[in-house]
Amino acid sequence: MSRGLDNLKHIVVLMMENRSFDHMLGALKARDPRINGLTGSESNPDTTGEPARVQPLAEYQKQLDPDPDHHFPAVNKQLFFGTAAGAAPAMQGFVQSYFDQRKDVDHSRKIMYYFQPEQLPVLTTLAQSFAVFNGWFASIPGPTICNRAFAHYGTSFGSVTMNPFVINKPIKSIYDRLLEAGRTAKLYYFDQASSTMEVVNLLSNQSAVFGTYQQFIDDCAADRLPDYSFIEPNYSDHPGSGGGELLACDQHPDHNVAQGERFIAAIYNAIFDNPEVWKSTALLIVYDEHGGIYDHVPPPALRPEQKDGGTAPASDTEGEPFHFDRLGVRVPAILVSPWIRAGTVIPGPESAAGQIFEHASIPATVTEHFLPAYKGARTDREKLSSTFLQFLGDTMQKDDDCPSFSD
Amino acid sequence: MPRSKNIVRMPEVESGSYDPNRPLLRNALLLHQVMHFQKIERERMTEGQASDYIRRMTALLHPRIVTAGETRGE
Repeated sequence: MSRGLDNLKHIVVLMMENRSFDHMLGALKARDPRINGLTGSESNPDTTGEPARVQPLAEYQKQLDPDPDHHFPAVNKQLFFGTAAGAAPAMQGFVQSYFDQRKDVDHSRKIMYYFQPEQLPVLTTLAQSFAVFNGWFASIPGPTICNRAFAHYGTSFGSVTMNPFVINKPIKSIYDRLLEAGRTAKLYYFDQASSTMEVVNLLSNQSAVFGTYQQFIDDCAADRLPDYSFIEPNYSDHPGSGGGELLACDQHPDHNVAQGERFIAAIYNAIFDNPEVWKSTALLIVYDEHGGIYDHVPPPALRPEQKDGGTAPASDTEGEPFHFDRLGVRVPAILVSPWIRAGTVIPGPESAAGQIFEHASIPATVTEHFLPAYKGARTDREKLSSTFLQFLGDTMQKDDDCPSFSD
Repeated sequence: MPRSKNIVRMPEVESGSYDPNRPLLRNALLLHQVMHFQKIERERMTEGQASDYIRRMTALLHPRIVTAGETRGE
């Protein structure tokens, strides 16, 4: 076991909203060719047949309005438009899909825009200072709720929709598993006005699991983080309880991406600023799904033995029933710990030695680390998912080599 | 005193970004979150709470109660 793992007491997951890997991190390929980002020549046909090329013209806000469709039928189009029957997704239907919403050719081409690293100094600095995953995919080619369910349960219980009323015992949430074993876990939402996306299954039944963003900050300062923490951003612009204006920081279109940068920085700084917490914590920053935005890497099929057990009906997919045998679109994922070598790039499907990660990797990793003897029900898919703590090594980065974020 | 000399500046947020009046229908995520809470609210609602809700919605959609005389055009 590495010294990093020996020291590890806390795993923290921050799940942001609706941005693809190429949109946020694709430009980093120009700085580090090991990062599987954009060459600049990638394109999709628009509805006139003209190629819409990727361009570094993404803006923080007021560009992706309306919210790009990312429900299962739309994602199917994004992946399979122009794909020969039986072939891997050609990733050629993003512009066509976005056109369906506003019927505006020029506007539909904006779905190909990506950020320059200078616009996202927090995310891109963390990606280059610690470990970035080339192959972390959304669990489902669909929307938020079913994808977030994979992070909490290792399955969505057969759902590819926003319906959360699907939880099916005996598979327990990662929070239940930990608490029943005498461990600690907390799901921190931003505040009561933003609350949680886990409204039904966790908030209704396990309200003791929850805390707020401010409590997370306080828990870091006091070195009382639980074994496992999951953090939700602010999902809405709303007044603060003591006055003032609180901006959504989830980065969900059309919320301000810069505010999300500042939120990610605040979470990182809270951990970094307490030396005891810093040396004993691994922070995973990941996005729930791509939000309908272009990525060039075809989502891989799962291995036959990675059975989820669910089937989504044709009424939910508006096509064939879905057997949970392939993943959603690739999303940004960064693992932060002082025990990770700076500049680590974790290879994905572009490499024969690469690994595929998805949101079931989260309960798989937490269970493996904190509950190695866990015997409760889990899907084969979760049990066979890649885990991610092996990237913690024996050498701790010096504090002065690690970034600290400031105004 | 910062723990690191490697200080990275965070991006500024433009003024005018705050917009709590953005229509809910433009954000599918928030819309579904509200629907999920409403489903739970309905399951816990009493008749008294239902009539209070209906009164508030009726007042919102029909703020002025029309009298019988007005309906006859007098």
